Amino acid sequence: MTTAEILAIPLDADDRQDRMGARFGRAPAFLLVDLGSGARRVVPNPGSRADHGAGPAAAGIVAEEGATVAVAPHFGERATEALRALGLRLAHASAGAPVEELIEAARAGALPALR
Amino acid sequence: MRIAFASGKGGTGKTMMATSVARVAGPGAAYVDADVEEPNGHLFLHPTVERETRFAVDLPEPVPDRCDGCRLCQQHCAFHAILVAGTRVLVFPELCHSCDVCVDVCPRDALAVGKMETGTVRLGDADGIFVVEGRLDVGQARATPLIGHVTRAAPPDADPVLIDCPPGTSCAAVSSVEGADLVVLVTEPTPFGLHDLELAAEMCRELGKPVAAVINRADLGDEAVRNWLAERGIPLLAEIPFDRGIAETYAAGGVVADRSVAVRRAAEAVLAHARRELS
Repeated sequence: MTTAEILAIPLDADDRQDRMGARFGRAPAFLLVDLGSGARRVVPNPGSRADHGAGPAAAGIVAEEGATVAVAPHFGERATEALRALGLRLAHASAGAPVEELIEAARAGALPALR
Repeated sequence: MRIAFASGKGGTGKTMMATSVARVAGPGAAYVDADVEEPNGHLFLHPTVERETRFAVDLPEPVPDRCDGCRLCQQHCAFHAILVAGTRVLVFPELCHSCDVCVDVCPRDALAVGKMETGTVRLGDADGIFVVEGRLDVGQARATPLIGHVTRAAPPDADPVLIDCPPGTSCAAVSSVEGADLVVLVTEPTPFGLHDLELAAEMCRELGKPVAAVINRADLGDEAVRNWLAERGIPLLAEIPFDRGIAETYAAGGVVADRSVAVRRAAEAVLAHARRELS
């Protein structure tokens, strides 16, 4: 994996940064991890409570933040379409997966890709 | 004179009343089926369809090779229906509300106003009653533009116009009563009936619509609905008893006012009230 990769992980709460959340589009926040430098930051997801369109909105946010890979237990139909159009790769892992394991797997190129 | 038949709760008798009032009013009246997700008035009025047209809403259409990726359209869309990926504009039709703001704000004319068909409008005749039906396409989520359209699709000289509304108090119900001069709330004397009647009456209050009520299956349940109507000063126009004959007529696809004296009288009471209040 190249140093430019940034992994986007949905969180169930912005103060709960050790485990991945259960949802992508409606996650209240995302953890962005630069797989090269190890730098991390949490960005809020204002679209999480939108009536409609949370998926595309979330995709736009993580893309704007520079993410190149998104991991989640499940991506909605529109989130999938939007993330792909924005050039992100999609990966799958179980809800509640430890963030450290996800980062390690991503660095090793071992996150199962969603096709 | 435009009378909407609405209810919070489903299955209270909106269609029975709307078709019956249409029958009692006779030739020159219009019946509008605004319950576009499950229009069923035609099953009772049996109109001859004279004209069928497709209905379409605005949907932005990207113009090739014009986008420079500024994302103004994405930022202005209140419904997350537009996403700009590089210089490619992605439109999510099911999220779009047809406001055209994306087309207006684009400095490079990279979006044009396109159209998306969402349903069918049928215009017909049933013994002199003008019948309008809106039918939303299967899989379409956005009913309101089609509902708004059908509530205005009756000929200008049709009178009265009887609008059969979808149940509930959602956007669909709101758009179906918006053009009405009077809303007749059809309810039943049960806790569910009262709960949803309160919601529907509140919706009409917000919209500034005068309301009146008809209680169906009036000999079942309790007194709570009557008491509530009296407290609120909402006129109770008619009470229709539970009657197997009504169910049989309805199940056979008939207009209930043709067979049931109670329903015919209720329909006449609705018309008389409307004429008194709205003239």
